[in-house]
Amino acid sequence: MTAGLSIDLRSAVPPFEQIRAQIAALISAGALEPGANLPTVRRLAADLGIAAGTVARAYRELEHAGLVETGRRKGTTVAASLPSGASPGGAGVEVEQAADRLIAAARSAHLDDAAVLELFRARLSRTSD
Amino acid sequence: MPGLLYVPSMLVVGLSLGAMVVYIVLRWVSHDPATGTSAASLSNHALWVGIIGWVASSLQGAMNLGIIPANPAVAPYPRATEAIVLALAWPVLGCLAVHAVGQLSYPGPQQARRRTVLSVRRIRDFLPRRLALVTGGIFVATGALIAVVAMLPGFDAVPAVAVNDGAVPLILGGRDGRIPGLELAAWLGAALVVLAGGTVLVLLLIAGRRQLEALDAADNATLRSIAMNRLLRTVATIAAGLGVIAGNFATHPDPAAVSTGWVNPAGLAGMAVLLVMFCWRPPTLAASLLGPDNRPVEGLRSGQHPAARLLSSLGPLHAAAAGLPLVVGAFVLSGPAAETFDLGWAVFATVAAVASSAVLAAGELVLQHNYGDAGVPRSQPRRTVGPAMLTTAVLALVAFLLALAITAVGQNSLGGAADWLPIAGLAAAGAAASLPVALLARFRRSVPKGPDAALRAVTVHRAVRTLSSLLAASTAALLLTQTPAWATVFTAAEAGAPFGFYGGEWWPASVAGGVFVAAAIVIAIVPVRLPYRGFVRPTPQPAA
Repeated sequence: MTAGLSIDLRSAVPPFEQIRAQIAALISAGALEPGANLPTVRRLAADLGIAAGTVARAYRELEHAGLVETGRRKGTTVAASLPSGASPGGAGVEVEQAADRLIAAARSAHLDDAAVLELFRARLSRTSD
Repeated sequence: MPGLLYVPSMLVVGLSLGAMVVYIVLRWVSHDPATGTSAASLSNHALWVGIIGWVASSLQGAMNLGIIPANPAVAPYPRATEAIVLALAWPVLGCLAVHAVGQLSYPGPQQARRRTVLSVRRIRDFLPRRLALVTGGIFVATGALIAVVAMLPGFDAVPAVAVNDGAVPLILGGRDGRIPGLELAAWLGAALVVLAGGTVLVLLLIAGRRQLEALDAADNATLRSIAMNRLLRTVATIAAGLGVIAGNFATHPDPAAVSTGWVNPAGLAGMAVLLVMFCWRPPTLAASLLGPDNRPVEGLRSGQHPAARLLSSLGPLHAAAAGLPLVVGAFVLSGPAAETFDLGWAVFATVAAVASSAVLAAGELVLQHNYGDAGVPRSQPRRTVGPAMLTTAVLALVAFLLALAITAVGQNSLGGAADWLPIAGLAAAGAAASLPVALLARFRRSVPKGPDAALRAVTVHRAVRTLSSLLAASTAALLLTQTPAWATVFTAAEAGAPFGFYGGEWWPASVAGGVFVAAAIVIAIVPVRLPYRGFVRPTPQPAA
């Protein structure tokens, strides 16, 4: 499976956090399966035109969260056993489909990406309260 | 030892300077004035990487490697490390360096929103498999041929002997020898291994280069396959060229043998590889506005005047005509003329220029016959040749005249035959062939209801381009074939043999000659752009 990743340098969210959050979401949704190889820090940094340290920090935080593992020979891979709450399974696919529906609805309402993200964050914070 | 120490430093300095120039050219090519980069500009970039890499891959200077000439004045040091390393290292390292610089010169992302794909990119994901298999086969075949060469003995050359029998002295021609096969095989084998290893490294670089934001994920992958296609085609021809050198050595007759005839089957195989690789097309980018050659579609648009379509179709024919000397050259370069003085290159360039000019003149005549109207006044372009092409032409002329003067002075000092005269004559003949084209473009009948002035401008532009390329090629011929004269002018005779001068070769002139060959090729393939776009009239829009 090929998963896409994008960052917005104008966003208030720092790039490392955007990378970390997206990879975490892709793992949770099952788009990145356990054992899947992630690109090297340098390669991802070159693709995105950002400093290698930024990507390294995102990878480090994912590693601390138990979502990825880094080995000398295999590089950075999605952890074989994911922490509870991050396991994909059938629910992951369902969430992914719901996200697709959200994107489709936002496009038909002519909302830009930033507006959709803000809306989503607001809903999330209301739910967690 | 000074030579040995000198080789790496010259290689490093030369390659570094060359890489810098190639980098700047490629960055300029990949730049799109409107958007920074675009699918079309990136496609152009990939094309130029292929062209420059191909130009750099010529093994022409190494074809007689290992052969000891009968006349020691031609090349008294056929086993000099410096000469062998330079002859093999330039094409092998130069080609690999150009493709590597090509990958490193892609611009980084500029927009605030940046996208990529979270996947590990491997060579096998993008490698054109059939081409890779064929290239691998060529490497293996060349390796086998080199192994055979390693077992062949060397022969001493038989020098020419002057016999004074009566009043007329008789000169009995000598016969070339060759160095031991193991020695040549070691050099060729090392070059093949470096080429194979370097190819794998550049393939890794292609697979790993950054994603380009002007292309989507699919086109990014396709562009990697395009780059791999062009790299493999070029290294396959270099590997085949090494096989041709080995074959040339292996089939060289023993001077002691009765028979002097010899045929190099590897040479035919090398030519076949060259043709196959020339025709092996890369895949196509799916991006809009790109045609089947990954080039922007222009010229043949619907609604264009048929005269413009005719002139547009002359472009490929004009290029094919320039290839005519490939057939003629096979005879001229090995013919008696080449033995008298090195006229082969100059004849090659002149035949190409005359053939190209003939196509242009024929095109103008067909235009006049099919679309011309004597009753309509001629419209002439305000500016027939763009400033860039005009500058190129003037610089090419100045360089040629300078080269001619220096060669004449050098040959005069040496007291030998004035070999620059035939080269000057050939260049003049080639230049004269462009005169009818200019006259036809100026005085042919007008094309009514068509872009008459622009059609004339396109033809003149092509004629000037051909002329400039001819002058650059003729300068190269003077530099490559008259090196003793250049060495005489630019080095102090009292200091003994000039630095880098081995009999008939003086490397600065050879390197400069190579640069002019590359310039001639680049000038010859510069597409007609500015005047061409101007004559496409907008299609009338229906009234709202």
